[in-house]
Amino acid sequence: MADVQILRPAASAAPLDFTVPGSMEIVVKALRARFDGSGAASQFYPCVRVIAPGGGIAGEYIAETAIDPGGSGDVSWAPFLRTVQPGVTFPRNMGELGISGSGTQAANYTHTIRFEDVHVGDRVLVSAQAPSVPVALAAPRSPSVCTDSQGHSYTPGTVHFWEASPPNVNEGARQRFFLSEPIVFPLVKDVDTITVTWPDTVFDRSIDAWLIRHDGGSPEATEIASSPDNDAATFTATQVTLQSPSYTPPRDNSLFFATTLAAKAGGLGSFGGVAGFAGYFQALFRFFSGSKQFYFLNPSTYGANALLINEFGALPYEIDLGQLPGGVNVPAFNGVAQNYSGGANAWKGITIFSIE
Amino acid sequence: MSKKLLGVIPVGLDLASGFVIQFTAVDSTTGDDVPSVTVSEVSLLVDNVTGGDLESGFGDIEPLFTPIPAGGA
Repeated sequence: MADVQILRPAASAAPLDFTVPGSMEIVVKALRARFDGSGAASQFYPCVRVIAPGGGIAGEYIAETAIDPGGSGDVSWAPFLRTVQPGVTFPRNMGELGISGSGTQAANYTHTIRFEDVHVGDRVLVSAQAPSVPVALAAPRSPSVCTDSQGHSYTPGTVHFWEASPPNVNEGARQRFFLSEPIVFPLVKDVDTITVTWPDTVFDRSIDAWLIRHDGGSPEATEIASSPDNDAATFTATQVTLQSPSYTPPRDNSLFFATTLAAKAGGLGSFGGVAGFAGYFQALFRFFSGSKQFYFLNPSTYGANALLINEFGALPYEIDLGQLPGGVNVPAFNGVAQNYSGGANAWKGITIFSIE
Repeated sequence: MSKKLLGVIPVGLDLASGFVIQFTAVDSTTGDDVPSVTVSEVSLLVDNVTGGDLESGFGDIEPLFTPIPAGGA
């Protein structure tokens, strides 16, 4: 028999009962009612209570959100309706937004956000890098301005000089991080973009980006350490290492986030860890193959639950849930390191952030 | 202005004669029923398994209780 709708538009004081009439049976598909709390003295939840013929309560089905005194609500009950997720929340601190680049010579590069949307209140951490001198005698160029397709402003960080001093043509890279203001207009994956501009043209421009989110709002990224600029010893070695500094996260659910950038014409071979350096976890690696050099830009984290999201039909990406407690010092330790089989005569550098 | 709220009920909530569906309001702290809340515009969408007249379910006068097909009045 087709479903039927039973209506009772008139107002009644709660509780209002509907009793299944004698010798009948119904299967409930959906219920709806308006609850007017204009006379209520306290906050309340609309509730559907099923009472057995003997008077026992067989079930109570309470709306997911409450109505304040004086308020009212239209409530629908049905199977499978759920807007509030059960269990733990998902307070990610970092979420990848992808890496891309171009080997051509130009003064800007635009990266389309990948993997996930950026929500209101999030921030975006952008790493932009390129060799600073595209042709002989050109003045060195650093990433200078960052914005996105929704017009948010980005604060530039210090420039890291993973290059000779003075720099050689298309050798090494200058890396600069930019941190967005709290996002006002959401950024949609595969639609919205991030653009970084250089003061003049360069080759091999690439952008890697992450969203930063904190359950309590006001997410921050603070650079707390970096390996030395223009470091010839690191250039000749096959590896780069950096102590994780003594640092006290100011709030719960923080994490440390590091990037290791390495650049070399012809590639760097394979990579691995360095004995004695542990604690930072690298879930995956990222690279960009330009027209002048090959670039590894590998992220790693400390103090986080790192999750790889494997969406069907798409590349895996990483999100990180911060676990460091606020106000508890993390002493310095041998933290971030990367060794490359072809790492000799490659410029390399590590930067560590506290994501709070 | 009314908020739009959702609640979840089980799939196949199959009720025989004598079962009561009660619309009520419970205190968010104590769980006790809250007085002075008014319920209106109640709608039940049900599979009337046995057929027959469900009109007497609310126990009040006929005009306030009108079974209609789910597709419309």
